[in-house]
Amino acid sequence: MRGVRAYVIVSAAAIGFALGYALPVFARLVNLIYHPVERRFFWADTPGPVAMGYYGQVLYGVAGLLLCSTIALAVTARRTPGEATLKLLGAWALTLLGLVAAYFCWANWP
Amino acid sequence: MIFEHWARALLVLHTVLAGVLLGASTHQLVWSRHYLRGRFARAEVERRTAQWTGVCFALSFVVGAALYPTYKVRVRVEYLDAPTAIAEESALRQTHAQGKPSATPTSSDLTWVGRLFDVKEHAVALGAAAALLLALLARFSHPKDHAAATTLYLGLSLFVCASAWSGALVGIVVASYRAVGGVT
Repeated sequence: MRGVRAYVIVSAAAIGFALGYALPVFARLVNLIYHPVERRFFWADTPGPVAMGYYGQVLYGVAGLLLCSTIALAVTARRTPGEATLKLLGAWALTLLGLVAAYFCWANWP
Repeated sequence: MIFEHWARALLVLHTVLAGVLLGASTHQLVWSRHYLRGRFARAEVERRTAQWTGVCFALSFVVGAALYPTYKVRVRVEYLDAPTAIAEESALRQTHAQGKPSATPTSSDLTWVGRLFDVKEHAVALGAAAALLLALLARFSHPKDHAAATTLYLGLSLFVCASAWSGALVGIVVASYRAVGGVT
């Protein structure tokens, strides 16, 4: 049972991180931006040439990871998912990681 | 810039951690290759290696993130995205090579190097998250104890290893053009 719960939480966390990481760029959401010269954080949807949106984007990913893993933790406390659900979760976790990596590769390819 | 005075030391540390990460992630992937056939001969050492891979990836990511502001300004903005700086350096090199200033200074566009680095930064962010999740899976739901986890486990292993290698190789290519260490 503990192994199944861990599997579901890890799958959900991977899905949450991948979606959260892609969300601010893909949907042009307001992001936490750091300006390295002025040494300050601010909120904006595009960072500009010097400022960096990377830290904020990682934080979006971590927020997605925490949200999805918390949901998985709550759901698995009530019932044990079936084999088909486990396969589906694992497949979505790997697919989303691959898709998000491919999206950023395609969007930034030299 | 924050951590700029530590940039060279951080780059050395980042390189060492990346080297350990490459070794750990590659061994972990190789040792888990028979799991689909139900063979777990090296499961215990592989499980520990997966956990070390997660630790190394996380540490390497944090050190890289600390270097990022210096890279962004000193390498990206002031060099890779600055055609004037590249043209001046190119002219200086031609002068050294020919013994006199070149009549026709050449310039090259290095924005592609910066964009290649962007690909790397996204790959390693996803790879670091995947490595930590793989470490959790190795601890609590290893394929030896939980067969349904095998596909996810091997997929994460492959993803982590590929992102570590691509990050390391792109990092070397970018540093071959310009790195974060200053003149002092």
